[in-house]
Amino acid sequence: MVRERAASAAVRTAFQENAAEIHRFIYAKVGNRAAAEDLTSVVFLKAVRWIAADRSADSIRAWLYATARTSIADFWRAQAQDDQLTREVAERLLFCGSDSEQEVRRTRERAERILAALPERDREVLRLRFLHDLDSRRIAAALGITPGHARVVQLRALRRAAAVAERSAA
Amino acid sequence: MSEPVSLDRVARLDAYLDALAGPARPAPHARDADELAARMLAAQLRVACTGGAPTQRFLQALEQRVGEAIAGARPGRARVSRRAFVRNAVAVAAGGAGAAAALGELGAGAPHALVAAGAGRWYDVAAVGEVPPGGAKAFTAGGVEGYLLNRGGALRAVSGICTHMGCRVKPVGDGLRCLCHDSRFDAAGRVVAGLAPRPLPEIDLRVARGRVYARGTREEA
Repeated sequence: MVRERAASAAVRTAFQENAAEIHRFIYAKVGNRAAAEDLTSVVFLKAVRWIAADRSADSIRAWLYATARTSIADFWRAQAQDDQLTREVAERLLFCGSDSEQEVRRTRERAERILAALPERDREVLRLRFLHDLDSRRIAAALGITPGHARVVQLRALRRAAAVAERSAA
Repeated sequence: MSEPVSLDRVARLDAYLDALAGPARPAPHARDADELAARMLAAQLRVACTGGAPTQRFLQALEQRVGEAIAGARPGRARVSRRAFVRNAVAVAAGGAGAAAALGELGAGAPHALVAAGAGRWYDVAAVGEVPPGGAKAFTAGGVEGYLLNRGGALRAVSGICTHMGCRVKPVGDGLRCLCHDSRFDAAGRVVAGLAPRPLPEIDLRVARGRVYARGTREEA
């Protein structure tokens, strides 16, 4: 009983110390609030079964990040509905490195680098889309183009951005 | 770089980007590698905008769920059922009248038919006797993917797509298991363990002239 009580205290502490960071980490990789909340829940409900009293705060944190990474990879496999996309491939495509605690910062820096490497019109469209959270109709209005054109530019810009990301990862 | 783009793709990506910023999770769809790469990148560009901090409301609701899970995992204590978790979470998240409406949907415990009676069309999925007792056979009926199960000589069919995040489930033991997050379902599609919020929908079956037919969506082969 004493052991169990200590274990559940460890889970509660782990939650309070890490929940916000784990959510940010997951959000940085799925980009959608509902999905990030769902995956964060998956990680911490799993933690209830895994965490025992004698684990250190560091090993708990490492486990939480590792489980979050797996859940993120699984999320993308489900999005792709592609059995060929293995966890390993999803991991490689998704993460900037093996240090999970640096991942949010690195993702943000990489986003800046990618935007900087794009032609001006592409950069403008992606900035309006992602930094200002505008939809294609509003982007069109802001740039004085038709919504249809804004949508085409947006697709091309993201394709170029993906190519830039791939080059910088290689 | 200036390769032609299909309007279909343009519209799909636009809808996806809108969904990313919206309240619900973007729907999964079969995609090619290019489209997946663009989606993955788009998802990761969003963090530059919002920072991705959780809402207090979410953290509080999850803390409560974790507390309940701890209580449920402890031996000798009353187990809090998965359904009760969901109910609590919904009540916390929605509150008031919204919660009542949400419960109405979740409270319907019996698996519903995936394709309504009278809609869709019948697909020939197996010969009678092809699936032995205890066995399972995957089938596709239009846009419906499911499993035909033989339990104790009775045939039934359930959807093969997990109600949690849309991954495929696979037969394991007497029931089905989701490969992504380990949700488990019994042979009737009911949730036995894991995060799946709803049972696997049932797929209507009928037997005629020695063949088993499943009701799927009406789609061109």
